[in-house]
Amino acid sequence: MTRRGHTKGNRAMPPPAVDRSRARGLPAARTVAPVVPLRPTGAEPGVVLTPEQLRSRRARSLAIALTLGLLAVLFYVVTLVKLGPGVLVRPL
Amino acid sequence: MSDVDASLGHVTRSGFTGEMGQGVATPRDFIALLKPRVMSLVVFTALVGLLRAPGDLHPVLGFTALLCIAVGAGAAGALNMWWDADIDAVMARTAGRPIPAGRIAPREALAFGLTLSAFSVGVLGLVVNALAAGLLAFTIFFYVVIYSMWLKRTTPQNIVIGGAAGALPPLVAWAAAADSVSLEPVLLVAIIFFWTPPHFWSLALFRADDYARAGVPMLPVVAGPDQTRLQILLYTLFLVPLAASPAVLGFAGPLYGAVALLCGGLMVTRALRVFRLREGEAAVKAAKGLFGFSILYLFALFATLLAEALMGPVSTGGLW
Repeated sequence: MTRRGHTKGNRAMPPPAVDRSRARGLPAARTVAPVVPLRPTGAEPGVVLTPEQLRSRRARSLAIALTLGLLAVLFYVVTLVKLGPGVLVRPL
Repeated sequence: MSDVDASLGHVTRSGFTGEMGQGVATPRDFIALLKPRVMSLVVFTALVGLLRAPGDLHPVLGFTALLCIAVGAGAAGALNMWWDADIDAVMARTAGRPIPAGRIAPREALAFGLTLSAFSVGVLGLVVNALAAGLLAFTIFFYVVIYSMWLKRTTPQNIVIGGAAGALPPLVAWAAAADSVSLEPVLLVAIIFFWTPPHFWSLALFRADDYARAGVPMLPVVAGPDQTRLQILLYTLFLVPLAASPAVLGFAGPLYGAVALLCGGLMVTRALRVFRLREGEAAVKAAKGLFGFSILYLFALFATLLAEALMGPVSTGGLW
């Protein structure tokens, strides 16, 4: 560890973003998170998907999202049907 | 039954070990795992059971029950494809399925089937009732364990006994609507149960080579085509009056009785044709004709029951 608390072996990681407005006593401004590479610089490329695999994965992801969305709607409607309009009338 | 594959080198009974999924499976492949054509028949027969049952199930809950039954049937189909991937790979009719084709890995199909099974049974139990959920769980278990894992590779009576799994959906749907079972849904189950052997054996007559290559002991492979033709005829002769019995017992109206008798007569005619024509192209054509008509026959029976249910109360006290 260095005096600033950074790990020596972690040089590929960029330093945290500094909110300069706070240093000047101004209200905190929204900061943009730095882009952090998922893989350390110089590492092996790992599994690289082919264009066909990428297309298939995207299609599967969309299908899962659509299915989950429809299920959420179904459960919402089923809840209303089973509990009726009194679903919101409950003692606190 | 691991012997089915020695020459192929990539098929063993312990599990399909050929080319695994390469991450290229699309949603369409996963839908194919659900056997959508079988699922459509399941949904149709279940809809009839749902609409003919007493009780006033809310349409949303009825839709949910049908969805659970459909997904449960699809899950059973996926588990069947997982287990049967080795024999699917050597049969022309099934070689293009997602697992033998290498688009989906067996473990993916297993996880998919188990997840959908648990989900469909759980939701049906929570949303509708425990009886229907229990019957759906039994149906999935019967199809996967009793039929696929045990009977299919060990006895020529595989599709006779295993046919119970395909026959149960109207009973599950009836239980969902009425929270009980009675004679009428049992009759519907019996009709599908006794319809299954003539339907599948007529298919097996012109696909016998496929089944023999895969080592599946279908009746034409084990007992020969002539014995199969006799069994088809006997089952059909039992099926036709059974199919007419709802009208006789007062569960269905005269329209159903007329359709059951008319289509039943045509079914017997086609079964007799299969029984008489035993050689050459004419025999194959007769078997294909019976296979195709058997689907139309079951559809006509259940469509009439559905129409009568939509038209209102049909009980006539029986024709006799």
